[in-house]
Amino acid sequence: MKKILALALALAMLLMTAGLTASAEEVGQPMAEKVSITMMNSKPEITAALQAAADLFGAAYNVSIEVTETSSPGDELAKRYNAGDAPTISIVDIANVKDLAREDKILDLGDQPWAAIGGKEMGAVINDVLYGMPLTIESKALLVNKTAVEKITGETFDPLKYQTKGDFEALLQQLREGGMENPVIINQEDWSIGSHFVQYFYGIQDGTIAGAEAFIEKVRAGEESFADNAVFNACMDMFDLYMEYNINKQDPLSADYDLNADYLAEGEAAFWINGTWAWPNMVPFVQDDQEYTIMHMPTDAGAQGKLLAQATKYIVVDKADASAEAQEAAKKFLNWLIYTEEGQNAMINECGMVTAFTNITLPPSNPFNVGLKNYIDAGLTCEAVTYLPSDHRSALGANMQKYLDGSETREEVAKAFDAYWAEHEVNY
Amino acid sequence: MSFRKKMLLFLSFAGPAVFFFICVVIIPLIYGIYLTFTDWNGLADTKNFVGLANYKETFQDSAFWNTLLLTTGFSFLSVLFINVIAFLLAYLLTSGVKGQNFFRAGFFTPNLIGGLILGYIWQIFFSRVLTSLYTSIPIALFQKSWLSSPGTAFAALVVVQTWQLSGYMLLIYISGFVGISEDVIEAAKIDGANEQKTTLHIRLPLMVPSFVVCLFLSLTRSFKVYDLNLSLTAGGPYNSTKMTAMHIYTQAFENHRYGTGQAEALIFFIVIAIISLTQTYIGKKREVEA
Repeated sequence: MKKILALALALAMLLMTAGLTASAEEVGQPMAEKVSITMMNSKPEITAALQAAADLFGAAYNVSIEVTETSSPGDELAKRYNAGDAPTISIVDIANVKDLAREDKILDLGDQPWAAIGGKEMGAVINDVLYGMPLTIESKALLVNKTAVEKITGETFDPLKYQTKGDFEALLQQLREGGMENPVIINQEDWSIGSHFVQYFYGIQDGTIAGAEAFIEKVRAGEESFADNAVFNACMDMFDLYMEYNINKQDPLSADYDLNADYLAEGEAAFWINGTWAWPNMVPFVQDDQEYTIMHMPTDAGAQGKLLAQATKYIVVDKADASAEAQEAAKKFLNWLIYTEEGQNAMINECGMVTAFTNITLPPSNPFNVGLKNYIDAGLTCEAVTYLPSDHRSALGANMQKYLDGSETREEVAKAFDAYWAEHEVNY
Repeated sequence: MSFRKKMLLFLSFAGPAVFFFICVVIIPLIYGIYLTFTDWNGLADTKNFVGLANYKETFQDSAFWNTLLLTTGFSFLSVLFINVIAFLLAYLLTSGVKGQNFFRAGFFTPNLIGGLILGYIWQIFFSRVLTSLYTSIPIALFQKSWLSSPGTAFAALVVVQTWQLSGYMLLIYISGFVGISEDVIEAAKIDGANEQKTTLHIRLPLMVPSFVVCLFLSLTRSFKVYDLNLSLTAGGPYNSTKMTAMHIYTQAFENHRYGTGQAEALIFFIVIAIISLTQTYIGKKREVEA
């Protein structure tokens, strides 16, 4: 018996060592001398978890990583680069990656092993160069209180059943008749309706970047206008429907974000026009007996049944100020996140990310992310909206707010979009 | 005293302040003026000279001029309300009301709360507290949040700015009232002036220095408002309450047009300087001595 036990232990040890070697292979050996690097994080809700992960990595690989956070990465990067103190690693948005790549400040990460396992597909690729590792995938979606819907309809909620406006309208009508007077929640923030929602106009033209860019080019050439575009009109039809069933419709521009989270969490309303990032806002209100998920926006035109999902934060490595050792340490950290158990655990469970990498099998850690993963696995996502100039929101964000409170018509919104594109180019 | 000694004396007292003033105000100002002639985007290593292109763009940027008009209106109303309220309160609180020290402290307190926090507190008040009053007091003013339509959101900004700054100006007016010599008041009374005439012809002219300071402070602070604008309305609804400082921030940092943003900031600076210096000049001319 003792022999068998000893054999089993030896086997277990062998397997563990083998596992460790396999997982550490891409990361490589620890740094010969201690290297200190900095990381700028523009996703403040994960700073603590990220610092803990960095410390774990640092202890094993002889690297010290100091994590700083910011909610305005553009300003922070400008400051740091001008001071000659650029962060070695930066977690940024696509617009920042474009700005940095244009000025040749960041490394080409195309040679990294993770590029082949989803990194390039979902990463920040500009002119065919991979500059940013995708940190997390997020989706602009309808957040759903499944339990609240099922309680009234009496049947299991299947998001894929609702493909067209008619399908969804019938459901909303049924919910209203069942006692839920206004099942939809619309935010008033311009980033929500004026920046996120409007991405449907482009994203679901046919679900591809090429399709969206072709549409914009036609508008720029004066061959097409938003007012005549079927997808724009289908999206606005949906927005009209949301407005009709909006829980905040008495005074839509005074909607409160936290209160909106509460409405959905407690089942006062069933659908929140928002995105998967809102889970932390839901947490204080979440009810144990309620189930939550996400769904695509049903439409009568464009890429039906598909979700607007994309990597929303990217990790880039500096080459302007960072030494060769610092760059190597930074690359090691990225590989550690993707290829080691500790790294994967930190990314998925501690930071709550949805990964783009096919080697990671850990399930997502919250219901919205689980819903998103289902869509990704089923191939029901549109290509990323990466082509909008950086002043798109500040120039057009207000138009949807005006539309929401009835002080602008659909034609006026369409005209504003036409006018904007007459003066702007598709960014890359 | 020789010139050298005088200079040494001056530098030993004013030197450190002058040094830091040059470092944090003068040099950035000059550098900022330089940036207005470039196409810098905030990140590039090279800054290409573009002549007056940024100024041309500024003059064509109708949004900038609209925000300037709005900011002027906001400043005019705020300055008026702040100073009228502060003056009246100061008059009351120097007339021997019971507990006047307590009231002085109470009215000053809002000024101790930072603009950002203040904005968030008032946001809850306008959006939640007022609207919930509607159930018991059903008047149109409480039916909707003040922050959801352009006119009332603008009014909300004026209300909060007045609420914040009146307490500060109150202290300056109080010091003005207290600083008036009792002899002069007594002399006026002996000459037969009643309370109203004493205030109008004796106190008010003697308090011109307080008016000059209060108008200058409230004017410049109102023109430069950013934190309150950001936290109370964030420029909304639909950019209708976006003040000039916020517009400049958007140009420079969100739209990555540092040159244009800087040119707009410079023009804004000149506008404020002209208005406040004119006001100070006129005010100073009216100053009298007892």
